[in-house]
Amino acid sequence: MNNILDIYESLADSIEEIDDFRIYDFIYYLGINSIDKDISKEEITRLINVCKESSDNFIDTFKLARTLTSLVYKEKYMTLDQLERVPSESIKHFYSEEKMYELRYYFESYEEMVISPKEIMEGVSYTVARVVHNGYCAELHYCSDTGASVEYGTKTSHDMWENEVEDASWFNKDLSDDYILNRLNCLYDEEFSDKRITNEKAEEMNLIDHILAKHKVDDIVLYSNDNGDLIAFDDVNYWKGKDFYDFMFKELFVYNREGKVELIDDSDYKRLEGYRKQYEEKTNEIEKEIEYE
Amino acid sequence: MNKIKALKELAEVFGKYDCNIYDFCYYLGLTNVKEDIKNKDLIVLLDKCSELSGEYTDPIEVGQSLANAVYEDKSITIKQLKKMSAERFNDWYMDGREVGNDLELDEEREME
Repeated sequence: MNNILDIYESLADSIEEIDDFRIYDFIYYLGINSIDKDISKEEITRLINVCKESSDNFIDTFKLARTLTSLVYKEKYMTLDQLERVPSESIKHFYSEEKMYELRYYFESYEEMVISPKEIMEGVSYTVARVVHNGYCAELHYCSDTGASVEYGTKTSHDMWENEVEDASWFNKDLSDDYILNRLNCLYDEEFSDKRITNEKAEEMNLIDHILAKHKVDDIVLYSNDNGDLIAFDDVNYWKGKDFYDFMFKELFVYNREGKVELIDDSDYKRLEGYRKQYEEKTNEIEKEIEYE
Repeated sequence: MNKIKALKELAEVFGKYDCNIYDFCYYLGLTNVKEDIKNKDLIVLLDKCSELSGEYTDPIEVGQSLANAVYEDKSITIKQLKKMSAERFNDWYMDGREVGNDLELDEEREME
């Protein structure tokens, strides 16, 4: 035992020789390193900072570093970016409650219909559906007295959400479950997604808006989802990409004897055909992939 | 990033020895309060730290708290500490060690 004390003394001396040394950083480092030896220096620094903010006298610092590192790099339940978004109070809460495993579900992703519109009764308040992803949520509520609303939630801790509510006048009880989930997904993307609509997509949507206006169609709303797909909704229907172009070319447009749509300029029509072709090619590629599988 | 380099180098040195990170933390906590603790007392203190600490204690803080109780506050002797139960220690540790909450073996004192 005396031998090991000599080793501790020698290590402690080595520590003293390092400028600006912080022993807790070293313990975190050892904890991180014991889970994954290949983490970059930049990410180790970020992990150490998370550990530092979440520690107190009632937390085993080495174990904390191991648990958090394992969560991100071994079990891969969340990314380091996400871990940095978990408040230190929540990490302390899970630790003290012996529920560190619950951190796995902190950024859970799912979408669900809570109740189908056809089952809604008068005089009762409902949460109809929700889309939850990455600590953000879009939730559709309905009450016959006050109408429908969408609540946008941002998770701020293990038991707290910050919410903003807006009217959802588009909702009616004849909508299908698929319609509602698709529309909620679009609203979620619009509110929370980091991805910006490309210029090309914006031009395409502007052109469609212009053409719909020419046809005096004012009840169709257009969205571009995170995959860059076009989705259109009216009061009861929704169309994705190629289906919407099929709707326009086959149902909306009125062709004259020369096969032209009188309400649209030739150049606009050609541009529209170009976009339509892109969706057809995309659909063919997907079908080929499915066949190949 | 130089800081991480220093940590890495130290971890490599640390890895060469077959020593336990917790024991090393207790050691640092203990010697932070008193640098010249006798080896025989250090051995007792390290064993006790290891016995008393758990996942709701910070290992450096455990070493530091016990050394404080023994050498600064003198509220407990090494001999008394040997008989300290984990339950008694936890009550003391969780209940704020530095706010007039002495680590004492009440029963023993009464007997004395």
